[in-house]
Amino acid sequence: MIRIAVDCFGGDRSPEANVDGALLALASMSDLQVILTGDEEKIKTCLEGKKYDSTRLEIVHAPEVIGTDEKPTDAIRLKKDSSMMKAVRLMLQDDSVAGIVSTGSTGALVAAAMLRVGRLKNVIRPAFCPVLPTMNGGLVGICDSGANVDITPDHLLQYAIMASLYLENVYNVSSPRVALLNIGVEGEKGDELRKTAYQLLKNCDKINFVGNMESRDLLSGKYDLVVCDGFGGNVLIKTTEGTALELLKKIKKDIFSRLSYKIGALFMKRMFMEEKAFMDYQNYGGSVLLGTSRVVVKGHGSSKATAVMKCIEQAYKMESSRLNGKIEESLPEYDKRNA
Amino acid sequence: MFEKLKVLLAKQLRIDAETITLESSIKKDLGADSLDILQILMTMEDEYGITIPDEELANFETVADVVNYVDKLGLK
Repeated sequence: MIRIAVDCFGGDRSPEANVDGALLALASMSDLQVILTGDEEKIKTCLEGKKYDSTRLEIVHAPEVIGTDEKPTDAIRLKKDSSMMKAVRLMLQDDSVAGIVSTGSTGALVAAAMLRVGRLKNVIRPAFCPVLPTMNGGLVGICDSGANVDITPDHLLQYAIMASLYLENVYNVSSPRVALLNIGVEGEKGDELRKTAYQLLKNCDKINFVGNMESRDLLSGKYDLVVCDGFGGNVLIKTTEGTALELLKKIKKDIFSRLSYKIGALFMKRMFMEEKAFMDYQNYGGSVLLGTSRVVVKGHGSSKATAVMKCIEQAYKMESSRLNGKIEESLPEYDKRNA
Repeated sequence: MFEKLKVLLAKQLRIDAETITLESSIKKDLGADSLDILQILMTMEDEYGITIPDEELANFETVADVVNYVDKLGLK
């Protein structure tokens, strides 16, 4: 049995989406057990009239909620009875709880993960690794998408090793093609950080490094993983999502501008719906934090039940594939005094 | 207090507790980084029910600095 703690509060659609997502996950994974943390009465109200295996669902009462506007380090210290910190503590006190899924404050979850959960051996800094769909029907991972802004080439090497293992074990990507985000594809492009990282990645036999990648190629399907600093990764992912959303809005607006366009679009409605589903982040779960000593998955604040279910599935697969053990075995010894 | 801190540091840094002395520099001798130090201090906060102000963190250079700080608070 794999046990996952689900923080049921803090997201825009909490607790309904979190509870419903947990029930969907229970229905699809027979050896999963979920522990829902948060206001017990509200969680019970969400469960009313729904069918589920009650032997695999537990509720732990946590009356407080960490808001997105709260200072993360204060919140994790002072709000011990919050749904997020209860879930974290459960995991720390009970080895049988494999991981935590949360749609709450990103800052608080990162602080809790780094300062309470802790890191795997030799990990300099844990990093976020969300995945996006590519134009050829595959996926591309982005590591780091925002956990660490100031980094060294060693960070990038660790991201490449950790995220390659993640893609192999959770998404069955064989020998993921790793690229370094840069301003040109040539090896000598970029600043000193990128140039040094390029050589480190090129000489590492634990990954399949294929060179530099320009941001416009993110969704091309040529790469399975792009490694970057958290600042660049965050800009990359938000620009990509924003461009896709604005383009869709523009197309929609243009369709309604002429009768002939409307008639044409009617015949293409199904295709538009398929494209919308293809680009909808709700179908791709959340962003995992790689390098923490226990599994941590951050769902989008606006996650619906399907997205929460996918997050739980990600946590389940990370645990069942023994991903953390494999990361520890693969990372080279690192003297943190160099960090 | 020193004995408790030794256990905490050894566990966090995956090192032999016997190598830790009061004079040990937490970063240079024991190999800790800033995240390790924060994590150890937060564990101490939990254990003793105290809150260590952020501005104190810069003062913790050696193991003795931490021991003296906790001793000043009258904690064991």
